[in-house]
Amino acid sequence: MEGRQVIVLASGTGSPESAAYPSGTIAVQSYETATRRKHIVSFKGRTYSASTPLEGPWSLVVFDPARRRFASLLPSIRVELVGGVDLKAIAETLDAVDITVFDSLGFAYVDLPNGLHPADAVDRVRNLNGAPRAAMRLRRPRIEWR
Amino acid sequence: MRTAWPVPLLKGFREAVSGVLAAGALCSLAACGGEPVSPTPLPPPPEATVTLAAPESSTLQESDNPRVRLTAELDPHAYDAVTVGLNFGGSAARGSDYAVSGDTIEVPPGGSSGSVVIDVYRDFVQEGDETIEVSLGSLTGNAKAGETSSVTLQLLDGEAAMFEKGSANGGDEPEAGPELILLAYGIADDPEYALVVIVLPQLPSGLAEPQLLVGQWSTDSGFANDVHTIATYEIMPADDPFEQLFGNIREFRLPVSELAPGEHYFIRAYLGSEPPSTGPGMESENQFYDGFATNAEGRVVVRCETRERGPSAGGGDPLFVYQWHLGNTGQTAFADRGGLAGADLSMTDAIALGRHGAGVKLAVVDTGLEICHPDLAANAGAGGSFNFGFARAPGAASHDPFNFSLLGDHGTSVAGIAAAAANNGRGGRGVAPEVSLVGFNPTSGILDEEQDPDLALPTAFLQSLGAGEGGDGAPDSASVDIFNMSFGSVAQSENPAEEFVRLLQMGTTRLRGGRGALYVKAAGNGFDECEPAHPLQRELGCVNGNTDPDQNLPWLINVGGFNADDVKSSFSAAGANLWVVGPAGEDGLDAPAMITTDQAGAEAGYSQYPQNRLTSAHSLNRDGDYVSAFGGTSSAAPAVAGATAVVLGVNPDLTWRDVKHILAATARKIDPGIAEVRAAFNGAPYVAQHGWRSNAAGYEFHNWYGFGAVDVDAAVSMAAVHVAGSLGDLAESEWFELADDAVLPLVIPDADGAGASAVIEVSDLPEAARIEAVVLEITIEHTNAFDLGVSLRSPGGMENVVNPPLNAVLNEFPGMQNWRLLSNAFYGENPGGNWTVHVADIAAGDVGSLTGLRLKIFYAEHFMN
Repeated sequence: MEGRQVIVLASGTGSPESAAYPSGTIAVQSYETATRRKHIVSFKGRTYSASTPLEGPWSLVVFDPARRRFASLLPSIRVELVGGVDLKAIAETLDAVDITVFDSLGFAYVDLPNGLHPADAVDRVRNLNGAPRAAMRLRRPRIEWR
Repeated sequence: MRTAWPVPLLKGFREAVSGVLAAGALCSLAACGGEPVSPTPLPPPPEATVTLAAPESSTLQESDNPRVRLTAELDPHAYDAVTVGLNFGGSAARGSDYAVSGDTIEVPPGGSSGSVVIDVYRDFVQEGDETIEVSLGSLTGNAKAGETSSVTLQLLDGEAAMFEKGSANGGDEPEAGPELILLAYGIADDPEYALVVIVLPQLPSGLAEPQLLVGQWSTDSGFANDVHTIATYEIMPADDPFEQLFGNIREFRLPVSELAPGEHYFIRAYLGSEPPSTGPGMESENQFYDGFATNAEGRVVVRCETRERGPSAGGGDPLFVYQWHLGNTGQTAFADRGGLAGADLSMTDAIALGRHGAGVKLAVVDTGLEICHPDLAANAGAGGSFNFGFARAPGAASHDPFNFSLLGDHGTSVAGIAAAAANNGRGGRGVAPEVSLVGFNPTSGILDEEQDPDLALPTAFLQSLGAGEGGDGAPDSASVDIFNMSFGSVAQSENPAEEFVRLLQMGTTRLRGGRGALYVKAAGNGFDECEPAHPLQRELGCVNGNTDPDQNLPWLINVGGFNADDVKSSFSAAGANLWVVGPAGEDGLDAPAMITTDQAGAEAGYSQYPQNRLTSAHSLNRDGDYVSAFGGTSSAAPAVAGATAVVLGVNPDLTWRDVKHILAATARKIDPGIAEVRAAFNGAPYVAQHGWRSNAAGYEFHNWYGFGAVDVDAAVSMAAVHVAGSLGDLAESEWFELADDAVLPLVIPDADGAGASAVIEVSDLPEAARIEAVVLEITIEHTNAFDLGVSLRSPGGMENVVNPPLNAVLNEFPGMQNWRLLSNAFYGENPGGNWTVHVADIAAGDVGSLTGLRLKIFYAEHFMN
């Protein structure tokens, strides 16, 4: 994602209690409480923790090892408009809520339905004919007027 | 009294003597008449007496960072070369309290003096006053010591200071709050509700008690009467940083049924059990406050309604004489004092000759735009604006980005600086008063938390900045020539979103028929946005402009601000990423701010604020359409955007890089005497910010000013003769890596100005390559990046600090991970050769290592500097 690797953390109710990564440098735990989902990441001798809502777009979270922080995902993905990509097929596969095409920029945003994790959406898109390129999207920082 | 021993005689002493001897010999061989002349030996040349001369003042303030010259004087002049040895003593320690440029002074034959420089270090260590005692040492050559053979310099101890920084926090996000962050204020897409306010309360994890979050409305702007509570929430302290940032979003919806027609309403949300002070222009912590008007149907006014205005005063612009940024005569501009005559955009000729930006299209991407404003309508009335919120706001129009707030529309004031009409008998004028003006309000259209506008890079931003291709009721930004971006990110160091990079690449290559649109961006107001953690921070600033994730890109014109005194505006963010500065002023009370358009009407806008002196009580602002207290780099950017429109109006064929080049080449150097910021840490001097420096291509650069203040008349003159497209194509190199990765990780010595250095070789670029921008990507593992300053030295010898130490947003930040830092300081240089990256840690206690470095060059092939 945006030139770097991130670890996608579990979201939603009923997700696995722990998604332990085999790497020796990082360990990830994610589990539900009554109202929240807790995420605990151990990386290079430090422990990072976060909690997210069980449902909804704010439940989508990744851990960015390079920046040592959690980051929130948008409930949409970016699909590259190369190789005659079939946006209709992508929309059907994902049951997309909306698609905004930016021809001049060479990509489209595909808004995902509730419950479909962007990581799963990216995998589904990549499995379509022609293996279209797709990526998750991070929430960007807030802006201010100056 | 000094003995005069004429230099020519000294220089020719031997030759003169030998000439006499030769003449005598010649006469002895040939009859010269009379007795042969016997050669008379001349006396040996006199021995020079050497004395030491103290500098003008022998009492030095350490805090002034003094560099003084110590001179050895010879009387008479040196016959042969003389070497004067120096001994240094006293209570100050050479190497840690001061440095000397040499232990000897060399005086050439015929010379009468020589000198060394003593560089006194500012070290912020309390050590009391000290002395430097300098005495003559050994002398070689025909010289002897005089009576004044020693000098004592008194060093007055400077300010002692400790670094007040946060400690490493285990990698969690810095603790936030309590703070109330506004996420959205907009029209509700619901027939039962008029408005919705979405806020994010942030409570620190150490807070034990829950906090109340209250939403209210009133017809009284001060909330003293007629106060109605919409809802009250109990907010629990968050137990983790992520939840603080994202977990507690709340919203308040105001029912339509509670609103009457033709009324003004105010709405607020606050954290805490006690209501804060509320009113236009009043700043209260942890409070959101705004207002709106209702129309005859009792709905929120969401369209620009043309105001009746009396007949104009017969031409001219009554407020023009107050607009110091267009012609600074020292006028006070409603502040207590005026500035410096000539501290302006230097556009006397452009105004006189009617260089007004006609034929150029300028977009203000902002909070809104009053397209029917009496002083904007002439330029904005042709259409092309877009309201991203129209679909959810009953009665709104897609072409009208009206901001329904009653407390000021940032976009309308920004627009006036660039594009207010001229000679209409109203208000002031814009820098480009005939430009075609359009407005886009990308944050107005989305209100639910799923599509939170302020936390994403929403579709609307892309559509506002060149990727909106129009047609079928969609926004058209692809036809825009210049985008004004008076906004920025509030986040810590991050790199830009890939979409934003691609947007700028597209806009600069495809728009304007391939000549490229211009993206003019406000650098930010973070210079004084902190309680200084150390005296150096007052000189370096709090938040550096290179920290903004969207400002380390070479396709932008990053604009800082200067004031009416012709120096940096107190708030304007510094940064190696600056290109130029534009007028931004100060607060409008003590010193002039910017005079521009305000929301029309005395009952709306910034003109109601107590900080504004150009109130509706003033004869020049009876209708309340103007404000005298606008500011920030939000105003510097549209001034430069307007200047750019004037330049393009003169030569529409110029590419975006032609324009950038012209702005840099013609910029006016201001604050020429500004000193470099340096101090010694662990006895090693460190330059945390350079003074004005000239690079190898002859461009002068300073991190406060970029290439300087925009000079419109000079730019117009150059634009008229500049051959469009003559700078060739912009090329982007591959990443250049360290020649020897084995040096990594490179330990950065703690609290030591010596720092650590690494070299990257740039090779195999064309001989004619000329730098347009340089991007350094750096990775540092460190327990607190606040301590770290990063500098870059080019093969041409230019040095530039790309991240100053004590950058406030990096306090408690665990290093820098693949962080990209832009520098424009090397513009025009040839990039080939060795680049030195220097990293210094100036504060004790946190440690780390440099673990990754690479360098990218943006360049073009030409020989034009």
